[in-house]
Amino acid sequence: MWLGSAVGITLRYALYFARVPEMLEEHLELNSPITSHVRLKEGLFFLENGISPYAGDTCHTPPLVLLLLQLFHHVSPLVHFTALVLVDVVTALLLRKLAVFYRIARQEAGVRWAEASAPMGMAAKEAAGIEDVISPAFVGLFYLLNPLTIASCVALSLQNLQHLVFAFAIVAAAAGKGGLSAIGVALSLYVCPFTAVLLILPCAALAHQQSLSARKARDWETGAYSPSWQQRIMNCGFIGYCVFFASLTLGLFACLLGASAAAMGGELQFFEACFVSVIAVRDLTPNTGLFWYMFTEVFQRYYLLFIFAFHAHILFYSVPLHLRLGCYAPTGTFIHCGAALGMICLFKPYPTASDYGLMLSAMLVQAELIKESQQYFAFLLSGVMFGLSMVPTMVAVWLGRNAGNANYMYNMTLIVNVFGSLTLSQWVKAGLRLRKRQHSLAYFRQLVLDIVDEVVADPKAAKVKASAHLDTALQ
Amino acid sequence: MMRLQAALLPLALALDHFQETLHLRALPRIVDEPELYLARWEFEIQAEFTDAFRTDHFDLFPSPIGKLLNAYPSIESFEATLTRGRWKSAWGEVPWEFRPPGAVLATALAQANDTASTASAYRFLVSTLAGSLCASFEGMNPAVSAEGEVQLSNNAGARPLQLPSAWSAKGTSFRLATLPYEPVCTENLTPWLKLLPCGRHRGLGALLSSLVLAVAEAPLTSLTLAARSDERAAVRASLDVVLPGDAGSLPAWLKSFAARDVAHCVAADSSELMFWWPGKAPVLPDTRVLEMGERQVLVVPTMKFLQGSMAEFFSGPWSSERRLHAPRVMRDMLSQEGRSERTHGRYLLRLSNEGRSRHVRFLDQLPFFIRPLWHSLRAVWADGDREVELHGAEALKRLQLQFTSSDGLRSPTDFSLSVELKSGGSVSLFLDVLKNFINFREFSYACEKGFDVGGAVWLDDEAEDAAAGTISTAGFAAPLGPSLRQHEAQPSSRLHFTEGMLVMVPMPDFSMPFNVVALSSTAATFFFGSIFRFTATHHPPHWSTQRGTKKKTLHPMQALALLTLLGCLGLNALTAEHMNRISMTLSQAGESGQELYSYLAIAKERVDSILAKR
Repeated sequence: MWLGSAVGITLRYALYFARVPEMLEEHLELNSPITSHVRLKEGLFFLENGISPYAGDTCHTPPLVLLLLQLFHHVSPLVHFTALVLVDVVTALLLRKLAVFYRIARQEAGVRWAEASAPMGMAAKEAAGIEDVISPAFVGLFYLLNPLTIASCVALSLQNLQHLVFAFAIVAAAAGKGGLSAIGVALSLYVCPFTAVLLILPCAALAHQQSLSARKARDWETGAYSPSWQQRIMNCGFIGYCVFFASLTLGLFACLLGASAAAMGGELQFFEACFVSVIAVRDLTPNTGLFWYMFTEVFQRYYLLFIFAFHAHILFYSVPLHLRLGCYAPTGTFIHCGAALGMICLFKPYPTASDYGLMLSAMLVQAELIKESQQYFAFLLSGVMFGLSMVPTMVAVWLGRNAGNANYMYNMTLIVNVFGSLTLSQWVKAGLRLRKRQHSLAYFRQLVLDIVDEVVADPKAAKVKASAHLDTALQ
Repeated sequence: MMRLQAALLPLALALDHFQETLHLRALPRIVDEPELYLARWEFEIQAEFTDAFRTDHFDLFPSPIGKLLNAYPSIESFEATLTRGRWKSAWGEVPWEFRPPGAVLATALAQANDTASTASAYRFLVSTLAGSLCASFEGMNPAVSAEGEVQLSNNAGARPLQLPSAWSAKGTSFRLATLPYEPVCTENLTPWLKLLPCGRHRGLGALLSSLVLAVAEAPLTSLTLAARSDERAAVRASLDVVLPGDAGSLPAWLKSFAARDVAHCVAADSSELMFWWPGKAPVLPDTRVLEMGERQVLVVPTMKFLQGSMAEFFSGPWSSERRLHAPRVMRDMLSQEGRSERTHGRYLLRLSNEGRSRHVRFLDQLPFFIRPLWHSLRAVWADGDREVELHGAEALKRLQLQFTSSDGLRSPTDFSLSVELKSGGSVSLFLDVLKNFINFREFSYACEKGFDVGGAVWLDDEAEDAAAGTISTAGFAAPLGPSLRQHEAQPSSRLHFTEGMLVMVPMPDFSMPFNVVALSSTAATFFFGSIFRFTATHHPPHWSTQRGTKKKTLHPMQALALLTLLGCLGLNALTAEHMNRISMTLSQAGESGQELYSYLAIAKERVDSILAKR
């Protein structure tokens, strides 16, 4: 991991000193209006000269982040870049840590989960190949050495800062630190308005599952089968915990807003620039998402309706996914967190290519899901990569050479989003399939064990019972 | 003889009077640009309101206008102007006010109690102009557009144009209508020329036949038709064109006039050429000189010019060389190297001064789709060999630059700056801008050529290049035509306008809104549908569990409702014979039986009545 990290850092600095940032800092697929370095410089310029950094609606960086970056920027641009490299390294380490937590959870899930994820007719031990390759270090390095992530960092985009807070929120929850996780989710809401709300339920469930009190009450290792109709869908303790977690998150978010207002001397212009403007998708600069062209073309009368629809539809996913997947400890909550991360990357108003780097890294944490959906996964992933690699060409054709039009770019964003959505949904589907298979295996194991017990206890009675069952079946 | 004179005099007085004038004025030379001069053709026809005129029998007066004035006496005056291009500040002070690009119709109507007749007169005027001058005027008809009605009825106190004060006098209703875009009628002068007595065949109007292409390509063309109806009826038609040419000799088309290729218009009472000299004009026989402050205007009768003597004289320079010493402002939107012209730009402002030192204040407005990046500001002061370059905040302070940012929606970015321009010095300002991607409804007509950004304003505190001897239209209705005015006191600061800019912005596909809405929603639905299918679909019961064979039971309330329904149907089915039998049976049970029967009878009655109503 450390060697790989050194390679990743060296690569970034090499590109930085080769003046690649000047070339990449205006690329639309790497910079969004809220994380662009050019706009950040404008905000910092205003801040240093006593003007509101949000004048002109150019800068959308939240005040506390802006003040933090002002410290780095004031010293030297190299320090600013170093901070961005550190963000990437820490994110990679957090993802590695997440993979470690998941590996423990998978071990806790025991043979049932391993057998469920193994191909039919193959023992769990024989099949554990891909999990060995996709080690926790691999997950971290996949993020750190991902060309999309490197390009985003070298383009001096702040997009990777969002990745850091997302990863922090999930890792803190995986560590059983609910409070820290709530801070992470609040920070996520602060740097990525509204869409990060998808993290609240999975992080709360993960933190609750991984907390000490809950761990004591678990009996995952027993392998005992219990019919699903006997299982409790909702745990009152968890509901209370979830409400508390959400309240804490919103409270912390309010504190962040209050601190921002105080930092801006009581002026609330930042709220409009950093939150309202982002949610209302006022800046229609193209990116890899769906929003920009949709709201370029939509009729003004229906603008608010579609804003509401495109933001609100993400709220429909959390509870069903929790009920079908997230509430099945110990692996389900991790999968739900990964799915939430993927959905944020897909449905945030201003995504960039590096978001797909994070989404894929988060998917790699649960390697057995990729193995489960390998037929589709490779195809769908290649679709995403094709779309992302074609975006710069389409931008050049449309805006550079003026030989195409906006539909070229839109077509690629459609490909990226459709294939990204299908990749994520197949991944989730694989998770659901594994969960069901694990349940079925437990049932059959229990069935066989009951019969064996019965036969051992009274072979004659068992024989008679079996004959009776056979007669009934034949009739 | 005396009798003949006495008989002819009233006839001669009743005839119309026609005057034609051609003004030629060299414009200041600008380095690296072709030399230009301003030519103004001016034709004026005056007619008495004689009986013949009142009965639509006209001498020289254009009949469409005459008929209009006869039919609608409430039309006191009107001025219809078609303009293409603008007067550039580099050409010096504007000699008279040019109307804004497009079509302008200013009308003074006599106020009447009957608004319908006034409206009718206006509509008829618009139709006449549309038929005899330019079809675009039909767009000003209130009947065509409701918006036009609002615009035309606006009797606001502020006047956007320089117009005679008589038009705002009591008892006069003033109407103003404009169209922003008019490219066709200024290129085809035929309808306008047809209104003149000699048309395009004789006189000064005939000179235009060799200038069709030059007029079409001229940077400024303004065509006017004005009429007045007070004591006499009068029409003025004028054409202003900025043409390329060498001030060192007469234009070729005027030389052909001098060579008698073109005949004099015999209907004209007066036909003159006016050469505007910046300094002292030469003294020539049969000419007169008008003093206009620092300028002199040499007035040459056309007949004399046609005789050739003047033409020989004008084979030499007809205008002394004159350079413009006023400050120059260059404002443009450049592209950034290696970046798309549609997404990035560099605002350039260059203020230079060849004259005396002066203080310049510059005000500009960048529309909402241009987002300036103030941190990229770079300013260069050049003073001879010395150059000073400042960036960012230092440049802002040195330029005394103040700005009001856009709100991010529709409001523009306003900024102003002040600089001291030394003689021979210049100040250049470079500012990187981002061009916004905007909703497709924000795009205007012909946006593929770029967005039109209005001109900026600048003031300088020196008035060296005073507008001595300019043509004024301030009192058009009174003198009807440009009067030669004397030097006027100039204000301490002069207001100038820069040219507008065309800015390219990224464009969406305008034919796609429905497709994009449908496709984007479908893309979002892909994920929603998948997750919905995985999480919310019904799972068939497992064969190995007993949960799949769920016994169907009735809820007690369902059972009660069913029983009640059955009971009602049973009661309704009972006939009178059945009721008698029940009554007899129950009466055997005593009083309680009879009481029960009475309840039963009431219930049946209710049920029957309800069902009977249905």
